[in-house]
Amino acid sequence: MNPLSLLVAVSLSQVAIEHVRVEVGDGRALDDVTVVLSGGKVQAVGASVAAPPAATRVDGRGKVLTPGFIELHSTIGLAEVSLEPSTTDDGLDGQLLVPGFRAADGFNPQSTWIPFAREEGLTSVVAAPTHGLLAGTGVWVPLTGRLDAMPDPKAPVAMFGAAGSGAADAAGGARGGTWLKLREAFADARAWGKNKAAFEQNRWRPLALSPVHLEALWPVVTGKLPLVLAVDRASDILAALTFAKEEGVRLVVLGGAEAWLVAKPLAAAKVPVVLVPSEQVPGSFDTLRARDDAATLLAQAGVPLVLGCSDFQKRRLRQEAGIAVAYGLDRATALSAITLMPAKALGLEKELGTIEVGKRADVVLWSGDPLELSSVAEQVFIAGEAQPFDGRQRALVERYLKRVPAKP
Amino acid sequence: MTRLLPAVAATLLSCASTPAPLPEAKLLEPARAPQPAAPTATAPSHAPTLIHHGTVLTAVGRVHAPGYVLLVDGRIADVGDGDGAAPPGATVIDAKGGFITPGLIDTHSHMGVYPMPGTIAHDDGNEMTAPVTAHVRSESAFWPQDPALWRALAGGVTTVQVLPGSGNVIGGRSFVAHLKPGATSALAMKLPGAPEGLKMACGENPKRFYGPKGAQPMSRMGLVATMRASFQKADEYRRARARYERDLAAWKERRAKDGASTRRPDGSPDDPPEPPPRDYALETLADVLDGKILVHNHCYRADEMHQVLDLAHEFGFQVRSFHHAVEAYKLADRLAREGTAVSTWVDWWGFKMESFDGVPQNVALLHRAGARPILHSDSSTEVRRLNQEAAKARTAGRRFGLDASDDEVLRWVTANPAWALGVEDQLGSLEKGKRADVVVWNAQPFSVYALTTHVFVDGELTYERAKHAPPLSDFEVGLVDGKALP
Repeated sequence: MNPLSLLVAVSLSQVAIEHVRVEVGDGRALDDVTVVLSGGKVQAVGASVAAPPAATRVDGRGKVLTPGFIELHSTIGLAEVSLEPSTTDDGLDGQLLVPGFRAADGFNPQSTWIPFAREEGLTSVVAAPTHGLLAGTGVWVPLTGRLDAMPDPKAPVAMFGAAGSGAADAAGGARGGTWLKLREAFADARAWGKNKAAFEQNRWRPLALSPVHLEALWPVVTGKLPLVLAVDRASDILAALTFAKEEGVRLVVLGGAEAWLVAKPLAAAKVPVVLVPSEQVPGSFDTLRARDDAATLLAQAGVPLVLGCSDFQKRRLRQEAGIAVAYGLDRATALSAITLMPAKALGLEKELGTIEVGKRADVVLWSGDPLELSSVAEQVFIAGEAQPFDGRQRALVERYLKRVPAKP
Repeated sequence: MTRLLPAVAATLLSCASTPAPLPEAKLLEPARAPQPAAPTATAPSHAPTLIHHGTVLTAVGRVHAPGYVLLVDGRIADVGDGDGAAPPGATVIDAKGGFITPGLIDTHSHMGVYPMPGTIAHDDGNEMTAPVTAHVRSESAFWPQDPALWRALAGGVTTVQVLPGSGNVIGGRSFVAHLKPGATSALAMKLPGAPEGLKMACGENPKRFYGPKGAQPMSRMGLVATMRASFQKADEYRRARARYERDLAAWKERRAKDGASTRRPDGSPDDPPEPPPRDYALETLADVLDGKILVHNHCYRADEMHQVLDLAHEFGFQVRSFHHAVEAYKLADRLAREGTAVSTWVDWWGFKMESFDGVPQNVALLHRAGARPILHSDSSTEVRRLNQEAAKARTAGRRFGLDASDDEVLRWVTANPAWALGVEDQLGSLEKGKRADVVVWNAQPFSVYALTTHVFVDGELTYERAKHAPPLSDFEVGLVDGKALP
């Protein structure tokens, strides 16, 4: 099933953004063009495109239009107040292998994080689980913040797991334990998937996981669903590459602090790396060789580069991209790393990630350079619908602007 | 040691028919605990430096575009418009196209006490063995080899306050660290003349730790009661100390007047007064009441900040700054009136209930009310980008028509934190006579693309981006230059 198919709330409105600079998302930029959004899609892009008579016209002069930003691993909608357990649904504590866990089941489109993130140009995220070696599946969700944006739990976009020192601790205290448990789970999923009938007839040896988990792993072991593995140390990344090759898994590396050391094999295997540029510090023994220009080195080596943000900073994807540019990353590559590249890593690039005819009309109109801190998102469109700036924070500010006097 | 000496001296005095050879003047110091060792200024040996051709943002309202800054003997010798004149032997740095600012200051750091890499063995920032540990000092645990310190320096941060954590209601003393590379002790990095701070904490953190143990504070009621009881004891301690000092002075006066007499007129021995027992925790809090140690209070919610301000009035001390304070905008007018600074973030928000009402406009609203906003990090990673946080705070304000000039925005990470740390006479702006903590940026520092090119501390070039220098932290020696797989 197409993970996006149920989610397009078809927009009846037509919008024409005129005389705007379009940063397409694939590295190209088009100056002084008109973009027409219609029926939830991008209907036309071009210098000679005329606004349809019924369209709402937006003057884009001096402004920049980008695809909406996509965060590949987010707890938005899953963890409202992360230290308040009654408000968190981002994974199962203390359980190592729960591939059958579906983040979609707990996703709350009414999260207060959604308008907050949207204000910074995020239009969709993968709501993803975080605990354990195999934490479960994540689901792509548009950030409309509306109850008609409930994701389909049967249409995940990736399996999420971890294999660094934290995972090793959970697995019994050694990295060997992580890979042992992963190999066991994958072997069982493969065997079970080939002979489900025998299980129903009670003719099966004991399995490491119950069928609900093995079922969820089946698309991973068959290479249909990517496995996003949180891993930082260079040797762990190499181990993950070996595992992925042996198991026929589509791997995505999440974290990747030392990925620059193994950029060549990552590029050869076409394995995307999701990096948080602001966090390249020796914060643990897994990241001792982190360096600020890691994104640049990965891109230069041909690694498919995706940029992400930390859980604490769920909305600052564009700042992360800007930081990567400061350390040498080509600016167009940086923009691509928060638009087209995450879509590609998930296999959704035919519908998401660039401003091209036929693609989803998830676009953001910026007051200036979208990566620059002085710019603001002036309008955010999701599936062609203009989104309100209606976050709780705004309401609080408006209230206290009236209540608290300015300096006398 | 000093605690025992007065008693020994008194014994000697009461037995001797002739007065002791006046060791008591030295022995009978006022009843003060020994203070942490104080750093002394060292004379810099490097040559003068002229930085010019860049835009100089001074953080005191003046912008020189283009302008120059002259650093001599560790101090700012001159700042102005134009090229400036290089004294003989001076190093000249051409900052063409770039910007020159004071060194940035982070009021809230746990670098050195929660160092990188994060390991169990490195957890030294919270002495959570009792809710009040006013006797502990962050400098006792400070590890100058924390690689984060030197990454912060590369981010243009030249001074940080190293605080104990917020697990306790009263967590202990902080100190102001000047990021001078090569130090092997906290003392060598302690900024001379900087007052110490006291870390206090409201709200969820102390509750979360002590509550489940069935210990106070389990609630905010218990928390404020803990603060009040601590300052009550400190006030009593301070009175006893003052009484002793009075009695001691009177005794000394009698001794001076009556010459060698060790007897009162009625013939009883005129022994020196007995000092009250020393308590290092109460000593710290008494120094807060005396205004010698500055209060830095981790506090998120507006109602809790009101509570603490009221409590401070009750005991007669000032809260120098609230930290985190995501709801400060709700009492911005009072904070302006009270002269309490606010160290906060832009968009760290919502990770716990007490941060749920955080807004990115907090700083802009405080600025509008005439309060003293500061961007702080509380993070060994985020400390490297205080300039960007300041820029984001301005942009957030602009969404509501609240603007601030470049110079004002710069003050949020320089002059305002310098004031909060009580070092505004030494640091925080580019003015003649101040310490020569100067940063050169390759672009407008509020741009996401800006990086430092040169960082000076006390006039010494401590970081230069173009140079591939060995790591400043011992920990990283032999680690950083990994070889990529071919």
